[in-house]
Amino acid sequence: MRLTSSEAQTIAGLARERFGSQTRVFLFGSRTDDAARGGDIDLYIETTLDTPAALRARMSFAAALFRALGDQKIDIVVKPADRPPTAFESLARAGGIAL
Amino acid sequence: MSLDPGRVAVLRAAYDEALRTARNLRSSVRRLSGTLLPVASGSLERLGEDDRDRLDAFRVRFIELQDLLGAKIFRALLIVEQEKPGSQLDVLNRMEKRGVITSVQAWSALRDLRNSLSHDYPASDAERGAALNEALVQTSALLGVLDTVRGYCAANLGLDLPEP
Repeated sequence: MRLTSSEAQTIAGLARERFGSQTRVFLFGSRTDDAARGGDIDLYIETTLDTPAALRARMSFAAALFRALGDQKIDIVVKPADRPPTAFESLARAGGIAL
Repeated sequence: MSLDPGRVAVLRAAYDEALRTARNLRSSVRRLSGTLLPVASGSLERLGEDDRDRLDAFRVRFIELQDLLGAKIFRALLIVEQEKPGSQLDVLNRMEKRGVITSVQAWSALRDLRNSLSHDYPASDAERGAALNEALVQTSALLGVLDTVRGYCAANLGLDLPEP
């Protein structure tokens, strides 16, 4: 995984703070590949919040991450509790690293 | 401070563009409030083409105004003040210090909402509806930032920008 342990802790901590303590956070995409270089930080988040609450939590999470990590390109995919995962989300989770 | 006319012209052009978008955004909200907005649960999939277009205009106008402020106006303002804009976080910190935005946190949340509105990603109509409804709630905050830019320019730079 190409995140520093302090970055990983910040991401996981802020995610549980904003989306709830039961939140599952996964890093997926190129940052899971130790041999790759650069690339966005792709995060997949499973929350127990419903759709409107998850949207507001996402706004506050993204803002807090921006403050904490600065101008890194971060892509956030959120699965709210009130629908099943999409095919893309299932792949992100299966290939992801839990934070 | 004597202002560089070329730099002022860039700021004015960006502001005028934002003002047009802001007027269109206001008109979307006026026409859609109480009918299409807020989006009722389960209603998006039943909408006809015209109503979809109307909602889409609102969505695009919100995105455009957020873009114009965040990507153009804040930077143009710093350049008029003979400051070098650095990273986006640095630009926003300086906007917060000037009182143009209430906080970096609040502005960044609007930027994330803008991303939610623009992505192909939202997996469901419920998510599209929630993003549109949040945009409706946040429209006055977004319009307020443009007005604060105008007030700041008048008070601190002696620059007269047209009112909304």
